[in-house]
Amino acid sequence: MVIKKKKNKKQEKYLTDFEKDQLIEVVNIGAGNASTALSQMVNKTVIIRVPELFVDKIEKVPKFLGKQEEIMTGVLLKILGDAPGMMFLMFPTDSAGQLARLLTGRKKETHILDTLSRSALQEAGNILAGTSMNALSRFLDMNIIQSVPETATDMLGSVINSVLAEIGKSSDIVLILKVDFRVEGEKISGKLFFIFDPRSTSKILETAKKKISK
Amino acid sequence: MSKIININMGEAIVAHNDTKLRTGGVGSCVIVILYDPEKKVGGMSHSVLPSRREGNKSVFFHSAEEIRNPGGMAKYADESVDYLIKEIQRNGGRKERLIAKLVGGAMTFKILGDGKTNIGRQNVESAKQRIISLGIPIEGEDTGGTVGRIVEFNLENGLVDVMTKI
Repeated sequence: MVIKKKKNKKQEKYLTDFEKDQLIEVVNIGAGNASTALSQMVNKTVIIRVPELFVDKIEKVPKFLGKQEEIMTGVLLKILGDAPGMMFLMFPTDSAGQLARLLTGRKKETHILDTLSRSALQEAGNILAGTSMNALSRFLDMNIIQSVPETATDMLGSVINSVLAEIGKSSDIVLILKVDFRVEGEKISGKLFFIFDPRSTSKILETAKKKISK
Repeated sequence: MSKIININMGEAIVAHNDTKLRTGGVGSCVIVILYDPEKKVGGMSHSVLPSRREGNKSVFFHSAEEIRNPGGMAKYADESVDYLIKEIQRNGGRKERLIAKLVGGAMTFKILGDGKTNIGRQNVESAKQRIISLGIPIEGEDTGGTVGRIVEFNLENGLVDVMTKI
């Protein structure tokens, strides 16, 4: 008695290829800036992938993100202003610990994050979000503000639940752009998610179109 | 060896005898479990939002089918209760014999709403209200907190296991 709908190729219906490319480009600018900031912070080369785009119903998101029961550390920031949404930074626990060690300069091996590591990660999230939002607001001429960051270490599914519910309050469909990144020479890898609700998406697309046609 | 059925977000499943229903990574979602001990028929749902809202349609994407049927029935806590009861009755269970259990509704991020505005709490409240209004007794509850859960429901004896990973 599973409630499942027929597999459909709606993803293509939501956005045209051109619009997808535009969004990917816009986020790429943000992610590029963020990776430069991260690279300066840890003094290492940071490699990022081209953003991956996902548009579909909220219930389909968890599968896109990864294994539901895997423990990970996430940093969440709300995006406020003209294009409301959320930014979510996700690390495997080892990476989170390693990054926190790099940032705090401590040598202690801990798997459970203490207050200082957590605060270091939040700060990293803050800087990453700050730089990418700055780049976005400059490119799009929009007023984009970010909230205070918050970290959580838990199962991926349960962390992403509340984020999705927040989007789900106003829309059935969600748009996510995923950027994979890793720090060269260190065992640090992570994912950066830009989550927008459709209202913001259409705004971003409109502005991007105007920018390009100028 | 009993069969294990995995339930994803926004799904609801009804099964009987010798089966285990399992769902992992439950955060602010609410898990509604209904069980008829006599017939050993029961179901579990994994709902994301408290209730369907008017105007909960996307403004950007218009697809006729989308507007007619936005999301599955198990996506909303209150509707999932109705759905489970309907399916349990179809499988030989009786509404008068049902017992309910609730799990989930954790608050993972404070910035997404604290206290009454917290979505986890709203989910639990919504499911609870619907269950109580139908006169079904709530036998057990493990809700709230800040930690994600894994839920396993054994249909053989009606026992529910709740696990955490951190």
